[in-house]
Amino acid sequence: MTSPTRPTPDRPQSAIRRIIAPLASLKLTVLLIALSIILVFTGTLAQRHQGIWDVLHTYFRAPIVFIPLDIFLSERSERSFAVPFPGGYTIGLLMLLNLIAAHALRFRVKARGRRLLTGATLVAVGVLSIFWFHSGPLPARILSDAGGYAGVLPLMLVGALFYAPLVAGCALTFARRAGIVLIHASLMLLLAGEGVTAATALETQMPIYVGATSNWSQDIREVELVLIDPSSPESDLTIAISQSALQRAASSGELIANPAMPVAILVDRYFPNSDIRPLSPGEQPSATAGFGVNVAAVGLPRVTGVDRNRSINVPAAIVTLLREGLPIGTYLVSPHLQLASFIPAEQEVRIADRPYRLAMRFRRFHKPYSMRLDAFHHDLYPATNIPKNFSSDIHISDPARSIDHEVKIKMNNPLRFEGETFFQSGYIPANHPGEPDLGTVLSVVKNPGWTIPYIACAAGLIGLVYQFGASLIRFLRRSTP
Amino acid sequence: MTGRRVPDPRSFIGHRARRNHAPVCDREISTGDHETPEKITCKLLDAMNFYPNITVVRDKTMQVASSLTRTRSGTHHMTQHAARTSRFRLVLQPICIISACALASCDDAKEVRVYRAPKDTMTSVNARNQPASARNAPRNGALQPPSLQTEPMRAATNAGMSDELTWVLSEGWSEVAESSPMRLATLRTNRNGATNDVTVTKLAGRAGSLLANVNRWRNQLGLPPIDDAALAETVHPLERGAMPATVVDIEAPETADAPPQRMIACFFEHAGASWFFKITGDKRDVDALESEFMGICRSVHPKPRPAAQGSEPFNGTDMSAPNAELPPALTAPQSAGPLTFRVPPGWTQDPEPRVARVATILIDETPGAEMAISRFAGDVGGELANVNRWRRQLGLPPAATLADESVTNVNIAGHPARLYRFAASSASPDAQGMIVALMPHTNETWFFKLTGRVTDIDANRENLEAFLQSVSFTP
Repeated sequence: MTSPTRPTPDRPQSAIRRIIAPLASLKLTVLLIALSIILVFTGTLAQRHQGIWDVLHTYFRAPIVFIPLDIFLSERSERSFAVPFPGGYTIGLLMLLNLIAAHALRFRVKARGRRLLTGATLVAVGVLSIFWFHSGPLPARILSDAGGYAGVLPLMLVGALFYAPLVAGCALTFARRAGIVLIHASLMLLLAGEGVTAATALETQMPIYVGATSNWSQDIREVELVLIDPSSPESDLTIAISQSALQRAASSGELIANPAMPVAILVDRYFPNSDIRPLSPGEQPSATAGFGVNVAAVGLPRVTGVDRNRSINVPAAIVTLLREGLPIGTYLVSPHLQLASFIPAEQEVRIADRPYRLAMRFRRFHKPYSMRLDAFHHDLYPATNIPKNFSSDIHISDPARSIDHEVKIKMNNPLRFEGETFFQSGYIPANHPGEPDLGTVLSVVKNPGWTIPYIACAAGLIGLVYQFGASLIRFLRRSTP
Repeated sequence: MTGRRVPDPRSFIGHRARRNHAPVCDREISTGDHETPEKITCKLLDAMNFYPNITVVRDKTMQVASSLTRTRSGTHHMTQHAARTSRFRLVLQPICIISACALASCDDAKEVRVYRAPKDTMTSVNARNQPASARNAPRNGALQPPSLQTEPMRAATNAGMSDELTWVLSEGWSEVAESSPMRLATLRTNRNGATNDVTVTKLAGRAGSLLANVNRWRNQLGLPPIDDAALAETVHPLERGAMPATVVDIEAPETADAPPQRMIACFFEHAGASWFFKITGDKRDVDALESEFMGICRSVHPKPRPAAQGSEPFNGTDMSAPNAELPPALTAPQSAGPLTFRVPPGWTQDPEPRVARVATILIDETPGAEMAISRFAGDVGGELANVNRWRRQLGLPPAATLADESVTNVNIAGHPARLYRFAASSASPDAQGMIVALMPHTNETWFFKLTGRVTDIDANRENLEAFLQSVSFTP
């Protein structure tokens, strides 16, 4: 009796195959591509009525989307029906499953024994070398040494060395199909990369006045209501209530309460986008204390993705503070209320004979380091008022880690620090013409998965070259007598 | 069968919690009372996968853990099978995690965050850069932040600006004599045999709330009143206007005895008064005139004070022209590049930058007329070449010499300059012309070029000379 060289499929494997087979269908692939085209099309049209970030989160970073049919009409309708449609998460996830299932069913490891071991080792070494290469300083150094775009070709040549073990490993393991495996792996990486970006990426702004030091950045797409206890001389105890909590409390009428809060907060009204105007003669203010006794908040339509002035939603809210069930006062809060650009005007509130400060501001993210703006430069093209370059001389310091150095951030030359990238994105203009600008605005982007699309594209390119190159060589061999 | 135990999620949490110790308060997992188990699970999975620095699993740990167990129990059957083949297990685990995240629509924003932050130093530094009114304001409830002073209020307090508004009419529009005492002006256009009017009304104060005005207009169109919430859908701010304003757009459906109606109103607040620009009529007509109406609204700006009321003393440099009369009063100093100047009443500096121009100054109520300031290195081919370039632009034949040109010697910011005037030979009232000052300065040549209809540029020549007098170079 001879022992079988290959195990016969047992019942569980058959069951797995039955489960996976529909997922691996090519028809499903085509259907998903068609659905994604429709999703992109409707998501683009939706930006006529919704802001670009709204669309991103409701269409593409959502499991399901309800597409209002009025996006296909020239005018917005109040009685429009909405059609449920798979969102970006669902389509992306199914695409990923489809790819994985196809590989599980159709692709076979060709190598056996020592060849398989060598191939698998090379693949592992290749993956490690690729991630080491992309996470290290080498790509940035090659680009800066070559002076920007001229460094792309040297970068690709050097990078190819780090991808070589992966290609060799795939060739040993999958033989002729190595190219296809690489291409599919790059697609999976792209899909997974978007998942990582959606979950972890954060883009904020860091405004700094000349001579000032800042240790926070803010997300101008989201606000927070803060109640600050300034009693400590070293630091402020900050209680920050998120925008979603404010919106939910406004619609449900529930109190916002937390053991750490000295008061409970009732959100009387919440305006997703607003303006502030002086009170009319005889008009009763909504607020009983603070700035709101002189002004009123007016609701405005939310900004859309096609707004020419690229404005943002600036919410406002009327909130009542309650201590032990008794109202302390009703306040109007909004980022509109500010002492100067980016400096929220905080309203003083006395709670249990202690002073607190209340403000609605854009959501802040504090940093463990601080940045001081020593100088800001705003260069113009000769003989015009057209900006040529903006640059900021920044002093970074973190005494805890002995960080103390100066950098220059300018357009197309960002600073990468602490896993974040600081771009020169704007400036705080002077109050009067002819005076120097007051400060800089840096765009702070944190995206741990930013290298994934690069890796995916590189792997895909190598896979394509391998696949077509191998086919060409086979063809030439066959046609040679 | 050698099945592998599915790890207890609680032990997994403990493992992660023990392994990481860096205190990052932002990454604490919060669990609000009203959150669904799916959402909590999502948060936890999200946090475990993407935030390595989890140190605190809060007081609802057990709830979180049990919800995770429940979620996994849903896939328990599959997991047992998966244990038989390592390949399938490798595939299934990430799928479960991604599915949980995708289906629960993660929202990792904490409801209430409590943290200590260093005191904000920006406020104190910025205070030095602020106007005294803001700097001296007490930091308490009585503070009136600068942003509460609306743009119209600021505009009205600007030197040289009156309490009145003025505007620029598009082609085909005219201002007709007004008989109604309520109306300040009527702007009229005749299109396709139909006459359409824009009414301009000025009322003291705020003339009631915006909602009251909107409901009054809705009533005029036979529509029921609306509330504050619906108001937001009806109004929007004026875009790209010279002054901030609120635009109200109301449409009335077709009725038995009237076609669909539409009304667009633009509401300005200026110097303590409310100004309404309003067009009403058949929806088709209003639709056709919408862009022109909005153009008029965007051009609305404070009327400069008459010369005698100019509050800013003139401080321009000398002109070389003999016996130059006192120039008309100019507005507050403005700047462009290295230049500082004052524009005459009725002239407005265009904030939009243009290629190869230092500044562009628009002349109100004279469409097509403007003054461009530009500078170029060297002598730009010499005076004669420049003169012939300008002559060519007006369709005039080139000149062999400068002897026959209409030229005046002037002095701009202490530098000698030549002021040329050209007019097209056409007898049409729309014949174009230009007055150009050419000033060599250091290694550059500066041009101050006033272009437009001959009648307009001649009417503005005195203003141009006053403007040139006011020019100085920023040290």
